[in-house]
Amino acid sequence: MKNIVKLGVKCICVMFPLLAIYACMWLNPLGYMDEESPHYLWNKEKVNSEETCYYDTIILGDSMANAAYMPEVLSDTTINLSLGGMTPVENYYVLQDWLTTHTAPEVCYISFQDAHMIMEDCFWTRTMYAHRFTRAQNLEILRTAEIFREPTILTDHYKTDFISYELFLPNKYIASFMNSGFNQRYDRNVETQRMDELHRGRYVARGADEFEGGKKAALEEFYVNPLFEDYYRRLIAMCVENGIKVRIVKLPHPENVSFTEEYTAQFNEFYENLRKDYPEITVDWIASYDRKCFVDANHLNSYGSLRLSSEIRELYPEDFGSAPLSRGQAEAISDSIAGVKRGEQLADWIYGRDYTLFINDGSKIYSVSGLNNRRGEQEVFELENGLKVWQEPSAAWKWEEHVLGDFSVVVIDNYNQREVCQKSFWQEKETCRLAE
Amino acid sequence: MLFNSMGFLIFFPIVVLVYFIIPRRIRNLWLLAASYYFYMCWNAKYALLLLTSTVITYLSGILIERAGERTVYKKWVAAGSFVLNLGILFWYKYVNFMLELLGQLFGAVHIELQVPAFDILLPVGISFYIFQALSYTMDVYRREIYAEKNFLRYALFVSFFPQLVAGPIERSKNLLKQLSEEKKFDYDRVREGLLLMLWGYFLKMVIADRCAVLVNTVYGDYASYHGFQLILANVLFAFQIYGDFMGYSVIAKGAAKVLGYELMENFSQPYFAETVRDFWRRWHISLSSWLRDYLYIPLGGSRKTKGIKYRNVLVTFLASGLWHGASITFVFWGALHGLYQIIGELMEPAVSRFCQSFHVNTGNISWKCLRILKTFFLVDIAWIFFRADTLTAAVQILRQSFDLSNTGLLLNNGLYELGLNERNMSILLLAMLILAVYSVLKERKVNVIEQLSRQNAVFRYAVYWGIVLLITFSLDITGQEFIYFQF
Repeated sequence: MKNIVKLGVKCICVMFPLLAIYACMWLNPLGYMDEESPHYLWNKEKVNSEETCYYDTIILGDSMANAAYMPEVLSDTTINLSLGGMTPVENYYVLQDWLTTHTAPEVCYISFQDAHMIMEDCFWTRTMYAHRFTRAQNLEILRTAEIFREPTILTDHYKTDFISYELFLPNKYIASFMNSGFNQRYDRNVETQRMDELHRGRYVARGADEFEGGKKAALEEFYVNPLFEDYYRRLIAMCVENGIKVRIVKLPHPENVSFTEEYTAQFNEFYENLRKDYPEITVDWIASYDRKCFVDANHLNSYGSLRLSSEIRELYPEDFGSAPLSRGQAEAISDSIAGVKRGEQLADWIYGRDYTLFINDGSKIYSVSGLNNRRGEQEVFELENGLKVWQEPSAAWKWEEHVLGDFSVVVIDNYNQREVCQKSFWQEKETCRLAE
Repeated sequence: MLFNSMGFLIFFPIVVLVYFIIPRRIRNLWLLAASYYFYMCWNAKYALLLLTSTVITYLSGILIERAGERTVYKKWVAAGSFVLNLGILFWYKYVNFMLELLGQLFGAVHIELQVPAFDILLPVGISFYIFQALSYTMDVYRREIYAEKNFLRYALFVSFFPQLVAGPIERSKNLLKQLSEEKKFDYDRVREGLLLMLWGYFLKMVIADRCAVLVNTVYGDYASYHGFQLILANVLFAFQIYGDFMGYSVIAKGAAKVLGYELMENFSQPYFAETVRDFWRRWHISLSSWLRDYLYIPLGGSRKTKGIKYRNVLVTFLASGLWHGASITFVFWGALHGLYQIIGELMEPAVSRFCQSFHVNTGNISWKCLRILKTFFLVDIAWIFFRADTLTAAVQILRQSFDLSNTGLLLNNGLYELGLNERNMSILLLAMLILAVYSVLKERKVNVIEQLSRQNAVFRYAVYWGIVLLITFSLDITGQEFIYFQF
């Protein structure tokens, strides 16, 4: 017996490096996990923690929904609970958890890209990897996938993969651990979560970059895989049972994407069938957007998101009310304004909001207020860096007047009484690009 | 069940713990059950084949022994055992290959033959356990051992899980004898066994699986590569198959040792071989000695004329190639090794004369290194045929390997674009260095594990932790099957 104990102790000593790394992995996931994981962990924390304020509107869906819906533009009581790579399967459990810990919202917006109605591409590498759900929920997903024989979940070694992820085994996490430079991602991941909190769940990493590629493509088939339809229906049923209005929105694609009649017919047929069972739901299909609203073939950039969210507000004004912008919302909008890359978009960002722009074209300084009643007021702002800017009383600023070259802009957030950013732009024909 | 799977990491400690806890009289039964479970994890139905082969050879052993001096009867029984076992092997491994060859042969003389293809799944390790069982029949026939009367013990000999699916192909004289001995928990032996397993995992996971990433990238699209890319892939394949197969053998040896059994050495620093013949004394020793004892020598070996000897060499290596797989590439690989040996032997007098004429000191280290490099080169050329999917592909790879117009790759980090980044390449180089040191020590007959255990704790643990860390850093790229499972 003594020898067996001795052998056991020695085995542990020999395996110490592995055990130490394993402990780091288990205890400090934010230290090494990849860039998607903090979103998942934030979402988990937010959904499972006790209610601190009431959200009357929630957004569910995948990365397309996550990029598209901007809670700060929609309302102060909107939260975006969608996550990249998620299908109706995961969203069902997100809503289930949310309803366990929170009062049921009034409205739920649901949007998925077509691919996530057909297959799981991130169940293992994101949902399981980031431990988004409980063991019981994961097992339920696997059991249901077994019933439907869903190959994108039931991979070759799904049982051992399940154990590996559940136990944080190094075979699944060592790559991230090494790529993180051995736990050097903590600050970055915490910052990501701070941004998630600021933007109420919407990722902002995609920023204001613009989509330049994209050949013409026609989508010919709309198909929903049985497993995903099952969960989709369960998700809607859960909403209906809890008195939540369901708004299904097919989000816009870049203008290079078109849809065949067959596709449209299949889409309509699917949702007509759905509406037979759930007549309360609304289904909207937002038309294509210009490519400059996208960061890639699927995801809206911050400007596209502003546009989509503004359209949604106009489409369903009753869902969002008319409360003035809160300081929290303004903080989030200011953060997006700081990333703007086209000068002419600034006007859309501040429109109807209490922001002031000061524009210096080298000879004069102009001002413009997002609120009409502030336009033309004579004020003096003393900025944080000590620079004084005088607003000229008679300046009626128009973008078209600035054809002479460089100009600089200072954006002031009047809700939080702070300078948002200073930017220099270069006028090019009809657009104003950020100066290099 | 793979040795490098989570299943085995749960299975093995349970087997060992129960083995030492239960009464000695039922330990073999426990090991037999564990071995069959191990095999059935892959495909439960095919355990019947294992059982069939076991029953045939068990009964034939008893019948041969009972036959006494009735030579003809003995011969018939032994032949029956061979025909039935090789029949199973033929059906599951070679039938489609032979039918395809037949179709091609008829096609060559413009006779169109509709050759059916059978949907047969190759049973894992079938070549290993059938050869092991046949060696028992032969040993009883030659009266080198007594027939085993205890069926349980014999069944365990055929199915002993550490070496069941990828060898070493054990001899009854070694393993069967040990199965009747009592095994006690011995701290030093178990410790040594576990360290051997650790070393085996290092070979498999750090070296073989890492090499596999690059090799698979290049061989998967060989037409796009040439020169140094293919040379690197070919060299790394030599180390991949070595690390893979030796890794398995070492883990098997270690696992058996933990349980109290001593398996034979299957490798002895093969890439230090100075001739191809020497290589075969060091590579897959259990198979080459099997072929020597049960094929080459019965054919007449080297006792008759040179011509017959060369024929025997060629037949033995063709059989070796065919044993590895039902494909013309394996047959060609075997034939190439046979030719290497024949040509090597024919050239021996000329080489001796050359050395005498130019006063070459054949005991010199540089001469030795040159011979080692030459042998590695020849063996590596042959590995191309082993790895490539078709003969045409192998020839193309070989041809493109000599197109050295991409020397720039060596300067602009282009070799890091073949699936292994700089970090993984560095880990691989470090691991190869460790393997080289280990091999040199083994070549000098040093028992590395024993020597290591005599060192002070700081050095010892530095080595252990280094190996454990390298294995840990390889966990993300591992999980590939052992190459020799397919044989």
